Amino acid sequence: MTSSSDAILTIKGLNMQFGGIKALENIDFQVPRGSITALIGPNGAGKTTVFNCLTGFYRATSGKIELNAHKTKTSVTSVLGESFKASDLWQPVRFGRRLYYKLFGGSHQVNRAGLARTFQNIRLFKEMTALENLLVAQHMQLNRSFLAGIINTRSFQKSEENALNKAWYWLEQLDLINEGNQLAGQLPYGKQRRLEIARALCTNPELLCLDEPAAGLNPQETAELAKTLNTLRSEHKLTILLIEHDMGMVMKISSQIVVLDHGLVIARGSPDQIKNDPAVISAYLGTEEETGVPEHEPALA
Amino acid sequence: MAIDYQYSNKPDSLSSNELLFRIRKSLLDAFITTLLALAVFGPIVGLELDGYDFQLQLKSLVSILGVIFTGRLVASLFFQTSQGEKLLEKFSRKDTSIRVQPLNQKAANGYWIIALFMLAGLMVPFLASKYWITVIILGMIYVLLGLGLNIVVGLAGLLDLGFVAFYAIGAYGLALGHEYLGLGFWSMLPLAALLAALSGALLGFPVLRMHGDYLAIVTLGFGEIIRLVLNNWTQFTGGPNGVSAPAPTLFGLEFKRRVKEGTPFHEYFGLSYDSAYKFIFIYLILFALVWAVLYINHRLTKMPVGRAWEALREDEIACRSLGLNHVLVKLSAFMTGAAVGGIAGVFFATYQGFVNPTSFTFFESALILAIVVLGGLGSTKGVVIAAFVLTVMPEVLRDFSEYRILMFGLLMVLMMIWRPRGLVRMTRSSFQPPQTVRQAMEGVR
Repeated sequence: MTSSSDAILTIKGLNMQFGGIKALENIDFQVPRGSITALIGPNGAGKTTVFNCLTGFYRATSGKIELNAHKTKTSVTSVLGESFKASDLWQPVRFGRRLYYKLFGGSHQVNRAGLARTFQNIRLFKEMTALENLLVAQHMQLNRSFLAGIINTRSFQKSEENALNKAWYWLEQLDLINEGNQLAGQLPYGKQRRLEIARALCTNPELLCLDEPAAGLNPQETAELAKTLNTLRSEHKLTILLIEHDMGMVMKISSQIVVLDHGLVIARGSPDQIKNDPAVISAYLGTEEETGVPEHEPALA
Repeated sequence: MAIDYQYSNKPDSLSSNELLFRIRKSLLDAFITTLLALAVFGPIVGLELDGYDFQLQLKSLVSILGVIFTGRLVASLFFQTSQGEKLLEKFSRKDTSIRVQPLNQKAANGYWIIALFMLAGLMVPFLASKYWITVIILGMIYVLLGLGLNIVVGLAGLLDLGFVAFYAIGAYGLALGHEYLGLGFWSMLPLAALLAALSGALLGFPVLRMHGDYLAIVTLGFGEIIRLVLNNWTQFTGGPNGVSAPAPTLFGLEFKRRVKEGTPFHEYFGLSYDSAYKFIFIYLILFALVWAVLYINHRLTKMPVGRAWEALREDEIACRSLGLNHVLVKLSAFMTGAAVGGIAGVFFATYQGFVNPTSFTFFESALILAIVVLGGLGSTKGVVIAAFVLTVMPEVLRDFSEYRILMFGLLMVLMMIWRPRGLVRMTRSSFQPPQTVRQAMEGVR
């Protein structure tokens, strides 16, 4: 494990409860800067719940999630808007910050802090072109002045031109240049997946969270995806956190693997360590010692 | 069974057996339709009230039923021919109705059409009668309203059933501003837009976290609240009696026959008095303003704000994941739409010279929404066409005014069946790739 100063994302004691159901219990892990970290586990283990917590779509019941990107430390839980406390009365700065995040906070602040994500079921703007999808993603970096846009000033034109260039750049990187002017909803599935990644990259993230990026891809497309992810890490200095079921790909590209089962972290380590970890094997396949089912069952003969 | 077999095997050549079958089927269709028509029209057309008594009007009923019977018979016979089948297929096909403009085909001849429309529009007040000028003014007011609501419903995808509230705020803004503060048309025009936008923000901030149906109900309530306040706050708004609103002035010249101070417009220019001057003037200002709003609307769709609105309509969660504050994006759409509605209200008040709450009922909201839906959600051209169709047509067809709502409903049903995305097809703009990318594209091929 790397030291905490090097981690881009630190999760400490994360708990998530839906009513009486404990979806996550005491999750602890770190994502080292510049790594590809995979989050794996059987179905229903809580992988997507972890994702939703750290991207700000769920409000964690308790625990700390700290993102260290764009040279600042951001606490995901406070950005979502915490409830006020009595002690805020004599701490006006903290009160002000809480009030601000109550009014204007939310998952979009997490993205602005340097974390971009994709979704398990693709969420593109289907009736807009691929290029427009990427332009929307750059919203925060553009000249958004109402007047400048209506008069079409030079600075506005410049900002739009930059946005277009950036969009074309990422389309080229993800091998989508011929699809720029097509409707996103009409692209083939594999291209939609790549477009969603390109869109996430247009927000200038340092940490890219991919929720099952290889789901529904054929083996060749999966191999290309793995190559792309490696390029993103090595050339664009991105850190990648992904949920994936394709073990071949996970073992090949990730530098760290975190295994979840029933809302608990059951193993952490390099691919080789995980492959031979008895807890992981039992979670995926079931073992005789833990379940004990075969021994206690009445003999069939 | 034998008939079915023949039918499926030889659709082109008709055997006598099959022909008989088809005719029998058509007759049955026509008979059922006539029965249904009897149930619907029987009480409406067949019975005429006469004091406490009623009389049977068999003649008109039978003639209506006869028309329906033959109409249905001819239609079902026609739809069984190969031509009819083709026609049916053409209508039942669903087109995606969004198209991306091809790169090499830019809107070059669009300017011609715009110039032509501008010229035609400028000539109208000097050629048409006063009556037609007022009709077209009303049409343009609804164009403004449609464009305003189009931003909220068409672009941002927020169903607003209380848009008439902002219209009322604009109209009453002018009337009350004149009454209490002595403000004229020109100072109230921007102020009313601002006022409407502010009330949009006031309503929007707490409720825009809601989605779809809930938002629709809240806005519906807001529209009714505004109307009820206007109706019941008698000391301030005059209640059901309404308030008078000032006419616009041309550099301080008024369009009245006699004025208290200064000279009226016609005396200044040495013309004889004509009440149409006022409407010609309103027409010209409104005409300029409609073009301005059309231009702004056009620019908005090419600006980050407009793109964000459309993205929000497509997928709110994805928007949030990309760093867009969905509440602020919605709020900006709500406020911009409200401001346009407020401006429309000012024109309505000055055109009528008088406002009262009956002009701002839910039916107005429904009419504006119908304009947006009919025109095609998000399509500017469609909204303009639909606004004129829905406001000018009732004037043309004054004789059928009792059937207005019926026709309205029928039109909506037909639209939903054949053109659910509106009359005008959406076209998305395309972008030329930069030089380096173009080289790479050619390299790929």
